Amino acid sequence: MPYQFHNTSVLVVDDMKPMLQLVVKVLGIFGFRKIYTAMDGEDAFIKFCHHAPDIVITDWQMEPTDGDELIDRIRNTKKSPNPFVPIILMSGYTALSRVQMARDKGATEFLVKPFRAQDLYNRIEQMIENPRKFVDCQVYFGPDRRRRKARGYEGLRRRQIDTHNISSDAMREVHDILSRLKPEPLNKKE
Amino acid sequence: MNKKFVLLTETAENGVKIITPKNMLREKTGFGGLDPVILTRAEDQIRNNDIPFQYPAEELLKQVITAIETAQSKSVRDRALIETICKPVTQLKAGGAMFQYPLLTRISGIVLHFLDGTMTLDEEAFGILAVYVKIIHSILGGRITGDGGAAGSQLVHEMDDACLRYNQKYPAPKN
Repeated sequence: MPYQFHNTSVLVVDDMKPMLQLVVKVLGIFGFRKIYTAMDGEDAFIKFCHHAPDIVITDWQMEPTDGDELIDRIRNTKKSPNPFVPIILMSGYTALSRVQMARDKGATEFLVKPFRAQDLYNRIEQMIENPRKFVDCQVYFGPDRRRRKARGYEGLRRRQIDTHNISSDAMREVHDILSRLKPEPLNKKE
Repeated sequence: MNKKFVLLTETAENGVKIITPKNMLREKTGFGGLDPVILTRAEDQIRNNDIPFQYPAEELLKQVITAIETAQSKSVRDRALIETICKPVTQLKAGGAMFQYPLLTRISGIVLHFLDGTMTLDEEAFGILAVYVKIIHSILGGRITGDGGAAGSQLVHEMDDACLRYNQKYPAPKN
């Protein structure tokens, strides 16, 4: 059975009316029935507190309260009914520095406009299938900003420093012999 | 911290808490993904939507012109001032392709990239912005939806070339 979105509520925030209308239509096709809308961060936070939606999709640059500030309020104010809510931040910016900035604000996912329905769906799917852990420290509260786990080197280990990983007895013996040998000068004359 | 959202909290040696929230979305949506037919319908909705964008785009163009004029009138043209131009350009880039104006998105994307790499605006940079305004005005005035054909490609090429020439003439300082 496919995802059932009819019981999942979503708050969409964008100060450009055509964009707001289009996102709502696309979400409707996906099967969402509880869709709340707002045209700036101020109104969005009021609606967020009132409805406690399961997902927030917000534009970045809005007047007078932008997406940054909305995320900050959702994540960090006591009034917020759910500081862990998944948030998709939409923007026309594509520069890496901007994306990193959005990530540092506490957005769960970043969606570059213009986008395809597949792009929006991918972000929603990601939040369902691979939800992020949260980090709570003095300077930041929000989704863990590290997406991938660092994978160690999986090839043959050849360095002196790798010897502590030697597991077979035969290799351990070779290593012991090598470590007992005294190095000789390279330019030794007969 | 509201416990009803939290599944597990671990505290690292440095005091940083790593919290695993409950997957509330999973509880509501279940498993199984989305039917590809629904996804196709959603793509069609974006591709063929008839939501009017002409008027909002014209308003955004006015904001671009005002921001450029304000920047020209100042003696110090710093990053903050450039940001005021970036905002409506970003909106034009964002909306164009979603409302049948992909050419608007391509041209605005080039200019946004140019502005993102600029720390100050000189007369030549204003020249590039003047060309941008002229092109967007023509696209909206002529209601050039779609990619604009050969003329559209030529405009994209010219805009790209102008920004490239500027960046080659005034390369970014190397760190």
